[in-house]
Amino acid sequence: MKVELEGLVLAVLLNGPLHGYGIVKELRAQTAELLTVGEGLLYPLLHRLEEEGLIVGTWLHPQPGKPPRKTYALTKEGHARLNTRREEWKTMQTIVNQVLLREGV
Amino acid sequence: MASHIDWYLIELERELTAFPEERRHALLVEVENHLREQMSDMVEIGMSHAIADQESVLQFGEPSEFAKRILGTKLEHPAPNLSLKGSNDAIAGYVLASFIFALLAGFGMHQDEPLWVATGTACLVVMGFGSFVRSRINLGSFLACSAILTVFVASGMALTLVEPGKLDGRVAVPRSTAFRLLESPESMPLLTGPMTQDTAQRITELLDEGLQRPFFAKFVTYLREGFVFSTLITGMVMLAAAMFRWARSKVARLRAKLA
Repeated sequence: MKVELEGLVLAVLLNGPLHGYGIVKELRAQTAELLTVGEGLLYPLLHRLEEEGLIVGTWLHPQPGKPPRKTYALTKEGHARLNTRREEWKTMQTIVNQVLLREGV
Repeated sequence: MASHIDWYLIELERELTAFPEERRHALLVEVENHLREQMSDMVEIGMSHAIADQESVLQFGEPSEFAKRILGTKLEHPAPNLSLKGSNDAIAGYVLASFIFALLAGFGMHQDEPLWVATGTACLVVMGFGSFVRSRINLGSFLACSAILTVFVASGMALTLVEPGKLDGRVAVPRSTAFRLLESPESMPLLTGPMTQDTAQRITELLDEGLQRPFFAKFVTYLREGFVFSTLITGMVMLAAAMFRWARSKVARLRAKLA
């Protein structure tokens, strides 16, 4: 099933900044392990969102001796895009429901 | 110990040569952290190291596919043209070689040009090798580097006073020797035996000719010779770099398999 990955990633970041693997784990946790995002798709998406200014990446040094982590946070533009995606999804859901769940005449 | 993760990172780095170096490095660090953290989590839930290592990499898919997707994203600061990128280090080598020459010999000190050419060529070869190991080799970078080396070698040779080969290879006259010879030809014995009056006369004529001929005329004369030499050297350096990369990749794969 094709899902709206962009909207999901933006929604996950709504709770606070996360690094790439953190986003994957959070998506799994929020969907009770039903949704697994391929990392091969995630990073290109994160880079595109960063280029578009919807998220901002920051390198953090969590602990001395540990490698630095790049965490992503939602920007104002990212919030706006998330709202747009939500509206689009609601509209899409309504339309699909009307057709898919319609009882036979 | 080498692993699938190591192999994956090497392959990914190779696929991302068109990415700006700084961003490529950052992306590789990010991917490595992700892979290692994921592997660590898998081991924690009871998976063996070997399986976890393999599984982590599988989640990312083929390095070439991953790289294609990443490169497909719009870049604010795109990587420079590959040909130009391949020759960047060679240009830096040329500048470095000139600087070293200036330090060692000093301008107008009439020191031996072969030192300059040898130092410069060595710098270009070392830096070119480093560049070709990191960058994707293509015809553009080959031609650009050959052209740079040609100009370097031809200008170095044009600065000599006696053109090599004019005395059938019997004598080599570097600049410092040449100036002493001009002052007193009889004081300079040949390496192959005592210098005859005729040879001394011929050398003196050639030195006069060398002094009188404009630099540009000599430079043009040596362009063809320099091009042959430079193309050969560049080709050998590229071949060595390609073989090095191939061997490094094979070793990484082998070690991953053994692990």
